[in-house]
This record gives sequence, C-alpha cells and structure tokens, in this order.
Amino acid sequence: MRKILVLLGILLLPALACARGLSFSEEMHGYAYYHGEYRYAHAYFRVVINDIDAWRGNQNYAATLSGTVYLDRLAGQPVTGTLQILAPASGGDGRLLTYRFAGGGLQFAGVKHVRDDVGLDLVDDMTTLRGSFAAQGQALPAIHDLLYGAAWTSELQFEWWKPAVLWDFSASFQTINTPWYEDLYVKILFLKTVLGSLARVFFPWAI
Amino acid sequence: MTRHSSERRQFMAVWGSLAAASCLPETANAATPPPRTPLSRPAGQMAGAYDVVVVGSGYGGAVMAARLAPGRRLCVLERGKEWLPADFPSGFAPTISEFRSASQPLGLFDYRIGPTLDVLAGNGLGGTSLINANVVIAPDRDVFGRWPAAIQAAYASGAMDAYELRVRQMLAVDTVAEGDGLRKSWFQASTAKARLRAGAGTGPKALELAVNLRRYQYQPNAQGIWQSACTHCGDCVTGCRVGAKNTLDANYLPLARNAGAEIYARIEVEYLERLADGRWRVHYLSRPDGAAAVRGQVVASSVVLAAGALGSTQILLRSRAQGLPLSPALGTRFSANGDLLGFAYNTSVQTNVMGFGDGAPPRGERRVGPTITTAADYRNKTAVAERFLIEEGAIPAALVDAVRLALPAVAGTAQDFSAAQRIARDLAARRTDGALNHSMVYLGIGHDSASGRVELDAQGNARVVWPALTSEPFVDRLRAEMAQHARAYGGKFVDSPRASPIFGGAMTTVHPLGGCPMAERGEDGVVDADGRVFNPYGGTQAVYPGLRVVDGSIAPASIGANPLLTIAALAERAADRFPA
Repeated sequence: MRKILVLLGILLLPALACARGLSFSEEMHGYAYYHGEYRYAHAYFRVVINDIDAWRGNQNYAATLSGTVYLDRLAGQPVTGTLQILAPASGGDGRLLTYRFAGGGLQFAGVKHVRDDVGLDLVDDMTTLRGSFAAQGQALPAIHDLLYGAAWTSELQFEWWKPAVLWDFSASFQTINTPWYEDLYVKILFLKTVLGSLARVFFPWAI
Repeated sequence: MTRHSSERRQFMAVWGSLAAASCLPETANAATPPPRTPLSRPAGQMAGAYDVVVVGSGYGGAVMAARLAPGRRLCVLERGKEWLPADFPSGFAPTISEFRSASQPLGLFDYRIGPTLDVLAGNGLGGTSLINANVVIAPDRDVFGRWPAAIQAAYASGAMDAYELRVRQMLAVDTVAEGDGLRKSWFQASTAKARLRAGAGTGPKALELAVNLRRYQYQPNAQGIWQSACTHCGDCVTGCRVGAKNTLDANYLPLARNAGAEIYARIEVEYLERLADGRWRVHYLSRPDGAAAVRGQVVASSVVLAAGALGSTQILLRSRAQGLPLSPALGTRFSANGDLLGFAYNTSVQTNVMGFGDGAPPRGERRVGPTITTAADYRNKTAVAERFLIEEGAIPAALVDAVRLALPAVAGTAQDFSAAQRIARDLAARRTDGALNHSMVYLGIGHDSASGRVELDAQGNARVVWPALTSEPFVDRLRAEMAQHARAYGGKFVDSPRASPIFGGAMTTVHPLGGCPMAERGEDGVVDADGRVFNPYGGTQAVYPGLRVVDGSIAPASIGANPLLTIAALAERAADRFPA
C-alpha cells in the first residue's frame, strides 16, 4: 500500500513543478499591401500559452506567437509577437483576436473581430484576420481604426473549408509541461475558455 | 443590441452637432457655403442679334465663350438645363429617370443606343464635364497623323503645350497619392506593376484630375465659385453633389459670364441658316421652365458650333437638309476613341469600388475615390494603333445594386470557395466584403479606325452606324489585356453586360469623336485646321465666313486618351486664332 502511495506521489510530482501550458499552430492565406503593392501572403504561426491558468485569469488572454510570413516576391520572414485570443473589445463590441508581430524588417497589427452582427458568420469572423503590414519603424494603425476606420489593408484567412487545413490545425494542439493525466484537461480548459468567450458575445443574456 | 447603441450614438452625435451649430455666432458658420448663383439667364432676355453665338457649353464651347467674350456681344446656347450640385440625382430610380429622351429632353445623360455602339454624353450647362471622370491627360504627340499639317505642327513644335497648360490651370488639376488610401488606385497600380514585370506596358500612371481634391474647402475658387473638397464618394459620373468636381460651370463658364457672355440654358439649336448678308440665323427650340417649348431664332455674325460629336454633326446634317451646302465628309470619321468597358470580377482583394454618394460609406469602406485615378499605360508601342490605356473605375452609388446583381449572372461559376462565398454575400445584401467590392471596373481607351458614320434617323436625331466595329483590332487587344489584369489577383474578366448577346451585344463609348472631321480640303473633311467650315461651292479650301466647329466632332481620328484636354486645348488655339 505504502509502495503504491509513493509511486502515485512520484507520478503526481510534475503537478507541483510545472505551469500547465498549451500550443497550437495556424496557417493563413490572403493578401497584404506592402511596399506599394498588393501581394499574395501566406503565414504560418505557432501560438504558445505557457501557463493556461494565468492565461485564463487575465482578460487580455495573451499568448506568444512565432512563425514565418511569406509575402509575394519577398523571402520568408521569421516573426515573433503576441496573440490575444478573444479578449473583450472596447465598448463591449464583441471579442477580438489581436495579432501583433514583427521580424525581418516588417511588422503587423491586425484583428479578427467576433461580433454578433446580422447573419451567421461566426466562422468567418473567427477565421478572417484584417490588419496592416508596415516596414519596421513606420506607424501601424490603431486597433480602433482597423475596426471602425477601415484602416486595414491586408487580409489573411484561415481556410477552414479545406479539410487538410482543418486537420493540421486540430492535430497541432499540444500541451506543454503538463502531466500526462492532465493533457486532456488542459485542452478542455482552453476550449472551455474559448467557448465561454464566444458565449458572452452571442448569448450575453444566458451568462 | 450593439447596433442599437451605435445608432443611438450617431443620433446623439447628429443632434449634438446641430445644437452646437445653432449656438455658434453667425460668422463662425463658414461650413455652409453660400448657394451657387445660376450662370444662365431666362430665355426672355435674349437679344435678336449677337457678334458670336456659341452652341454648346462643353469643353469646346465653354473655352471659346470664355476667350471670345471680352469685347464681343456673345451668347452661349445650351440644350440642357443648369445644374446646381445638390440637384444631381441620387439613388437608382432618380438616376435612371435622368436619361434623356423625347419625353425627358432635359435629362442629364444623353445615352444614344445603337445597333453596335451606344454613345454617352452629358446634357446640361457644362456639357459632359458634369458626368465625366475628370481625366486630364495629354495625347501622344504622334497620334495626329490624320490631322491637318497645321495641327501636327502645333503638337510637334510644342505650341500646343502652352494651350494645354492653360487648360490644366483653369481646370485646377490634381492627382491622388498613395497616402490617400484609395484601394482601387492601389489595386490598379499593383496589377499594372505585375503586368510590367511580365513585360507588358509601362506600369501605373497617376492621372491628373479636374477635381478639387483638397485645394478649396468651403471656399471660393479662382473664379469665385464656392467649392467643397472631394469626399471620395465615387460618384463623379452621376453628377458631383458635393460640388468638388471642377466642372466647366465652376471655371470657364463663370469666366465667360464675368466677361459679359450671356448664357442661356434649355435652348436646343436645330439648324443654321445662312443669310444673304453673310450672317447666320440660328434656329432653336426653347424649353422654358414650366412652359411649353417654343421655337425661336437668333442672328449672329459668327457661330461656334460646340455641341459635341453627335450634337454638332446633327445640327450640320439638319442644316444641310435645310439647304446649307456642306462637305460630303459630314458624318464620317466617327470614332469611339477605342473605348472598351470591362470588369475584373470577384478578385481576392477588396477594392472599394462601390460609390456611396452623399450617403454614409458602408462599414468597411471609408473611401472610394474619384471615379478614375490611375491608368495602366500601354502606349509604349511604335505603332499608334496598338497603343492603349486601361483606367480603373468606381461604380456610382445609383448603379451599385444593379451591377451587384447583374454580374453574377454573366460571370458564370465561382473560381473557388472564397469567391462563391463572396457572391453569396452579394446576393444577400450590399456588403463591402462581397464579390462586387472585390472587383474592378475597367475603361480601356485605344485607337480605332474612325470608320463609323453619323446619320439622321426618321426623327432627325443623330445615330451611329458602324457595322464592323466589333471586329476592330483594338477590341480583342484591350479585352485580352484586361483579362490579364483580372487574373493577377484571381478574378474573372467579364465584358460590359451590354456587350453580351443577351443585352444586344453593343459596345459603349463615353468619348464620341468625329462626324465633322478636320482636313486640308473640303473633299476630305468638314472643317479646316482652325475649325472653319468648308464651303463646297467655293473651291477646295474655301470656308464659310463666321462658321466654326470647335469640339470633339472635329477629330478625324481617335486620340487614344481621355479627350477633354485635347478638345479644350484645340479650343484655346481656335480662340487665339479667332479674328479680332
């Protein structure tokens, strides 16, 4: 009995040591206005939430982001930055997925805006990233202007209608520093937070 | 709920600003421009005789009137009415009802339907400047091969440069910049650069526009006409309700009026009669406001016909039918200026081409821009006939819904899932993320053989006969290049719906030229290099004293560029050479 308890204790030890985290990757395609031209654009991001509890506990829902951005006729640029996942928009106008990244001389700020507008377009809202690319050192538009001033010039889309893209995305979820027995739990926590944020947009009366 | 609160915010903002405005002292009320005073007089004030009668108030007539008015008793006769900015139509039904017809002779749009070619021109004081896209562009200096030697020399020697400069200054031209944030200009520049990389053309060219983009903001312009700055609403071609277009009633016509010219609108000239003393009797139909149309005459020592390619040709054809001998070339050498309309439909890039007029811009589209801003330039060919421009365009607000619903029918199946999704959005509602707002309108301008002919129909109205037009080489050349532009960002090339067999298969020109072509001799043309009308009974170079044609009708060939600068500069030259 004692041996079993010791063994269990050893198996549970990781729970004391680690902040449970999660990462996933996302691929998007679209166009970017950069250096005086519209260019085909393609981006591959790895999103990392190092501590899911801290992430859930802060309204900014900030994760780190790294990856590569390919703009037509330019070499792929490694970029790093942040992604806020469904943080409340100012003025209570829905939720935002805010992407900010920089690297290789370029920078970007953009948003996916999830709001309860006319029609069923939750999927489009969740998968359409609109923002602006600029050379580093130049000014990027403010988020408010991207949302309401039509200041965005580039559009990247997660192509959810392509089965391969959807499969890659689903299969990319991995936990970080998470004991094996909490693997599913961390993923459920993430999903629960995301769904909870969406519910606050679409069913504010129920919460 | 969010929508309601934003509507409430807007409502409060409107009331707030009204309340604030009512508290301001009188002098601070500078944001309200004084109403424009009409330039035209009631027809009852017309005298019986003038030194000069100018027929028409477009780029030919307005320039001639402004330059000839000092020191002469001069009047301008315009068939259309005078338009103040706020009077221009807004919305689909009001715009459609402004198409000129027998029952609506004062309609703004003179759209003449033909078997192979439709012709669009303006009808009102200021002529086509009221409904054009304001492009001020100089023609290549070597496209005048069919023109009289004097004109070729004037262009080759640089003499025309000075006249063009005068016109540019009077029309207060400006160009849009990248920083103006006009997506359709960016899109056009991007496709033009892509074609340049592929070895076609010379890339994008920002066009000079007769638009008050930023110079005057609720201020009087150089001729004292109050103007507001462009709101980038995209509605230049249905009449600028902002008063930002530098139409002729904001520059040349006020200059003429200030120099003593009498301007009469609603007077349609029917024909000219030569009097025994060498003067001219101008027969007209007057359509006074609120009264029946009446016929009348006015006598002039000198007549300047500037009623446009169809208008001047029509007046001379009718005059010939009334007994005035004219050149056998009358009605010939009609050119469509190589015009071709087309669309890049449903590309992957949002283009912001949906005009919003004086309504609020839709969500996601703050600015459209002046109708045309940028050309893709393909004039780098040795052979003149192979040169052309492709200009981008906006869709005026009044036609957005019609085009939005018509294009899916002619465009066929969508290229991919996103394209299908955009079409579905368009069919559901007017949205900025639909297929139409991912499209581009193209106005191609090239060179044709100018072998159209203007005839009078049974009612005595000019119409264009040109059976072989659709097999002119420029048609396929421009269409192929437009298709390349469309493909650059995944769009489909679509012809103008009117060109489809379903809708009659006719092409459209917005730049009618010819009909009274210039030539060295009366056998070959209707007017000489100064616009003087040949008298076929007086020898090969004999002209009628005191009768001129100065407008687009005198072009004996296509110009290969938007023609307003050429017409106005030739008018400046003709005015310079007018006997004192």
